[in-house]
Amino acid sequence: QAQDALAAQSLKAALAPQQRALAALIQLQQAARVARYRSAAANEGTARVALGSADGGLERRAQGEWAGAMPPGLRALMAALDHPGPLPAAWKADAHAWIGARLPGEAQRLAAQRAVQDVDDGCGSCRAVLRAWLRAGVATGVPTGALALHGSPAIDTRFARAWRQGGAQ
Amino acid sequence: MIVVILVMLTGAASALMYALSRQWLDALLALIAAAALSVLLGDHTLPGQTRAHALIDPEGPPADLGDVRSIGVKGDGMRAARWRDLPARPLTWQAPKDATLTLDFPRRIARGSLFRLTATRPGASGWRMQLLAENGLLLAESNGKGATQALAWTPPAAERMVLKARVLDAKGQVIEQGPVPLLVVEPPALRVTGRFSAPSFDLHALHTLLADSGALLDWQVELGSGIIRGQLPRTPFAQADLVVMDGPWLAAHPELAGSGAALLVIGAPPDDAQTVEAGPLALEREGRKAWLAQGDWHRMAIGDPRAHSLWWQEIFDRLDVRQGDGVEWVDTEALPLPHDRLEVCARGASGNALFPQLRQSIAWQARSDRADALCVAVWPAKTGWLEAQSGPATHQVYVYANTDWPSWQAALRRAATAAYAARTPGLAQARARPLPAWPFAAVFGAALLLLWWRERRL
Repeated sequence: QAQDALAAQSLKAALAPQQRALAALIQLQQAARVARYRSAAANEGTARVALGSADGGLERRAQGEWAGAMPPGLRALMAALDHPGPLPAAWKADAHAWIGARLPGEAQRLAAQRAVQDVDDGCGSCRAVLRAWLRAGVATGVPTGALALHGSPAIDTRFARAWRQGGAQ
Repeated sequence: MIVVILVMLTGAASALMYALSRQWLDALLALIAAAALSVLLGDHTLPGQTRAHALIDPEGPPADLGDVRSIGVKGDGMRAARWRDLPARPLTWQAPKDATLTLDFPRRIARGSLFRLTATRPGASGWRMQLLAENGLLLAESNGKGATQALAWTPPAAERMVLKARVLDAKGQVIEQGPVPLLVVEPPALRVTGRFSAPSFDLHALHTLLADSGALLDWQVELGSGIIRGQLPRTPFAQADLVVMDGPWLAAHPELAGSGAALLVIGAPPDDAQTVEAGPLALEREGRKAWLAQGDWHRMAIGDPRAHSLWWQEIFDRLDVRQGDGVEWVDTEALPLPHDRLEVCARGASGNALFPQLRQSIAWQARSDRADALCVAVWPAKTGWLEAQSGPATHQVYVYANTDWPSWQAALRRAATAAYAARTPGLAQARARPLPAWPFAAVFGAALLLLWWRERRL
């Protein structure tokens, strides 16, 4: 029967089990991709890894940012609080959410919310105070006492060039 | 000069005409008048004199001390910027004995690194230092032992801020407090390539530390035959700042070693390697390549994360890992004040330094007292942050108020005055004085009047 179908050039009927297996494989791959995506989304902010083979089948994935990184809205607010200019839209909601989530203790939260109100009332010198409260929230978000690693800046001066040329001779 | 010659010619001609008519006295008077006028019109000077001693007013030092043999000053003396304008002279100065304070801290650090503030009060004990945020929150406190005390704090965000430091006595009373400006910058991301032939807890600890530092990671670990767990950077890079690999991988892929980046091999160095041994890190004599023969740092990462990251930072520093390029700003002035000369220096700068608030653009200049840095001098107008730019690089210098940190200012003045007193004194330059004009004008006038009187009488 299969040979008949092959002769009639109808592939679907000829290789029915293989077709079913292929469909199942495709489904499985999709499910794996979805599961990987979900687990990665759950671990937002941490470095993600991908499995690949030795011939370089790695996927390009978003890499985790620094653990103390702020949401972009709050970063814009911190930058705007440095100058006596207009603040970004919906800054009060951002600030209140951040204060509620990050500051420990009722007293600190109240003081920070008072600073938000002062800035909203147009107090220029209170901007630095609010910035300090928002910064304190960043500090509580960093779990360990680890520091960030840095290289030294590569600086090209006449002295360094002469030193290198002297070494080459 | 021509006028003087004309005057002398005219005088000689007049005298000759008087002499021809045998009026000897008139001829003499004409000669005297011509001589007086030529001296009056000529630019003559008297030999110079020097002044023995001058007392300097620290608030308004004289612009020129060239003819003074020695100087004196009272109190704490002057700031270094003012002393530098004066020529070196022997100085009579009695240093005050009251207590001073000296602060030492970086003005600009990278985000995520440690900010250390060191305070020194010579001869004092039982005091301590506190660092407070703008909202009065205590950030760090010194241990309260000894004349020199330090405190450390990690700024969590990249911003500029003016923190507050307090010096407290044993009873908790504030002796002195003032601003501590700090500029925290976000450095360009470190680009790291990692290649390993086997997974380990150590590699996991290093990977976590680098990822938490915000580094761009191109990281591959071989789990088994043909299976690699890896990670590509969030933005691809062509040239890494640092390549980390283990010994087996380097043996299999030696071509990865010569890419120009700093190379760290985890494992013991081969026997034929020419290395400089100091501790666990073996640096190769040529190039920026090192072997790290110590493992088990993941225990340190769990037990003491700060010590772990400082240990790695030291390895990075010794390996000379370079990250980004541009300009390194050098802070030369400990306590800049408004209306006082401020020297802003940078390494690797070129072209002009731009100060938007002062509307000044000044060409960078090499200085004889700085080997590598280029400097410009500005006079800041007011207290607060002063922005400086050089091409794409920017910097901010905080200008203090005149009333900030009085005892630190006193300490800086005393140090500057002592440094001035240690300079090799130069000799006083005798300054030439101009010849007084009035006697010659009087002689000239009298001679002409006499001539006129004698002419009229005839």
